[in-house]
Amino acid sequence: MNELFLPPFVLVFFLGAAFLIKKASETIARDDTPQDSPKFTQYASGHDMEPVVPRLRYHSFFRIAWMFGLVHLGGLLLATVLPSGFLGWIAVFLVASLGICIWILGGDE
Amino acid sequence: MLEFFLAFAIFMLLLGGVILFLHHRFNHFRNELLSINALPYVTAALTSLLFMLLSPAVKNASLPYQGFVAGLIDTFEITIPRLLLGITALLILFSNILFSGEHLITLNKGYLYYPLSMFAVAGLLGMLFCEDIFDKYLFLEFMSLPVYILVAFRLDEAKSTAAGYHYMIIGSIATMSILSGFAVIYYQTGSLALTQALNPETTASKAAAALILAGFLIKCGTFPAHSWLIPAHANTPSGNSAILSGILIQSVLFTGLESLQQLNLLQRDSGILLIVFAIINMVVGNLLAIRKRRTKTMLASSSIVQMGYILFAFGAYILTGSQRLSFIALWFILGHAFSKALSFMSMGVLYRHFRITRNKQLNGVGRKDPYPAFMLALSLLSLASVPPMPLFFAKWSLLEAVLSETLPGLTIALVLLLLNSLLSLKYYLPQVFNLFRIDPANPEAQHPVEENPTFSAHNWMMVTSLTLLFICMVSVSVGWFWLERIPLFTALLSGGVF
Repeated sequence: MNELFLPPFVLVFFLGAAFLIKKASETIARDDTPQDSPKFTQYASGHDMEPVVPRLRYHSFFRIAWMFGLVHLGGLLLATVLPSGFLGWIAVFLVASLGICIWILGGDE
Repeated sequence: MLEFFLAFAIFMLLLGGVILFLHHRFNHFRNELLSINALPYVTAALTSLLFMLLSPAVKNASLPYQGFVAGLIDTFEITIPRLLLGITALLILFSNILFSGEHLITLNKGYLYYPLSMFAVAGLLGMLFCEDIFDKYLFLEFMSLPVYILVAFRLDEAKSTAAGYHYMIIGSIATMSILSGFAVIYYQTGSLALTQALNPETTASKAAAALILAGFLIKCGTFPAHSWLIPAHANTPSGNSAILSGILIQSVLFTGLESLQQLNLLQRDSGILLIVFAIINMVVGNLLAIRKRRTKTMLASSSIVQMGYILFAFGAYILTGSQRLSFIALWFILGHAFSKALSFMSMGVLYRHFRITRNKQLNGVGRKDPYPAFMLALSLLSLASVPPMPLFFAKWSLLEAVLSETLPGLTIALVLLLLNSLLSLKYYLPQVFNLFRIDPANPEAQHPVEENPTFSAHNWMMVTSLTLLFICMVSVSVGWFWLERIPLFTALLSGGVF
C-alpha cells in the first residue's frame, strides 16, 4: 500500500486529475462572448429578450488563471526555501521576482 | 576564494534587478538610460566569472573546486564547463540588455524587463553551480518564474499570453517530474547530495532516473514535449528569444545530464534513449521549420533540430564513453548559443526597422540595411553548419569521433543526422540568398517593405550588441584551432565535461 504513495504513482495520479480538471474547465469557460454583441441590448420590437450573461474574455481569463498559478508556484517555492535553512536570502529575491511578475500580469491590457 | 566570486556574481544580478526596479519607480528613467544602468551589474557578474576562469585554481587544474559561503551559498562546485556556460549566458544577457535599450524603446517597460532577465540568469548560474539536488530544483524554478512572464512580455497580444501560459503549464509538469525523481533519491538514501553514487540496478534508482531525465527533456523542448517551445521562443521580445533559445534550454539539458552522471544513473539505456529522441527531434524540427512562414517561428523550430544534434552528441558519449564526444557537445552548445542569439537579435533589428516578420519579406532587405542583414546571413550560415562557421567544426568533429567508434547502430544514426543537416539547408539557405537578392517573381518584391521612420537602426546600442555576439561567434570558431594548445581545453578533451 505504501508504494502507492511513491512520487511516480502520485505524479501519474496528478496528471490524470489535471487532465480531468482541464476538460471540465474547457466545458465551463469555453468561449468569450463579444462585448459589442447586439444580444447585450434589450430587444426593442415589442418582445423583451434577456441579455446573454457576459463571460470573461479568454485573454483576461488567461491572465487571471496565470496569476493564480504563479502565486501558488511562488508560494510552494517560498515554503520550501524557508524550512531548508540556508539560502534564506534568496527568498527575498524570490518575493521581488514574484512581485514584478504579478505587477506585469495585473497591468492594463 | 572562488566561492565569494560566485556568490558575488549571483548577488549582483539579483541586487541589480531590485535596484533598477526601485530606481525607475522613483526617478522614471527612460528605457536607454535604464539599460545603461543595468549593464554595470551584469559586467560585475561577468568579470567575477572571467576572474574565476583565469584564476590560479583553474590554471593549476585543481578543479573541481568545492566550497560554500555560510549564509550566502551552500555546497557548490566550480568546473570549467559550468564556467563556460555561465560566461556565455552572461555575455548574451549583456547583449540582450544593450540591444533592448533601443529595441524596446516604444514598449517603455524596461524597468520590468531588465530585472526579470537578470533574475532568470541569476537562477541559471545557481542551477549550474550548486551541488545539492534540492538546490538545483530551487534555482531551476527560480530561473523559470521570470522566464514564463518574459515569454508573454507583450501581454496585449493574445499569442504571447497563450505562449507564456502554455510554457508555465508544461514547465511546471517538467519541474514536478524532476522533483519527484529527487524525492525518490531522498527516499532511497536519505541524502540530497549530488556526489553520492547510487546503485543503478535498483527499481527506485531506475524510477528516479526516468523521472529526472523525462523532466529535463520536457524542460528543454524535446519531442513530444516540444509544443511549448515554438510559440514561447517566437512570441517573446527578440533579446529574450536569444537567451531562451541560445543558452537557457541547453544549460537545463547539461545540468540534467550532469546530475544523472554524478548520481551514477546515466547508463547505456539512457544513451540509446537520447539518440532516438535526437533523431526524432531533428526530423520533427526540420519538418516544422520548412513549413514555417514567419522567420522567428522558423528560427524557434530550428532550435528543436539543434537540440537534436546536442542530444546526439551526449547520447553518443554515454554509449561509447568517449570523453571527446562530451566536449564536442559542449562546444556545440557554445557555438549554437552565439549563432542563435545573433540570428534572433538581427531579426529583431529588421523587425523594428522594416516591420519584417515573414521570410518572403526579407527579399532584398540586405541592400537597404546591410549590417543587420549581413549578421543575420552569417548566423544562418552558422546554424546551417557551413564552413568556416563554429557549428561546422563541432559537427565535423562529431562525425570524426563517431566514425572512430565501431558501433554500427551509431553509424546509422549518424547518417540520419547528416541527412537532416542537408534537409535543414532547405530553409536556411533560401533566406540567406533572399536577403541580398531581389526576386521579381516574389510578390513581396512588388510591395517593398517600408522603413519605420521613428526607429534608428544604426543606434550604437544595437550595433554594439550585434558586433559583440558576432565576435563571440567567431571566437568559438577560431578557438577550435587552438583547443590543443590551451591547457584549459586539453584537460576537457581528455577528461570530459562531466
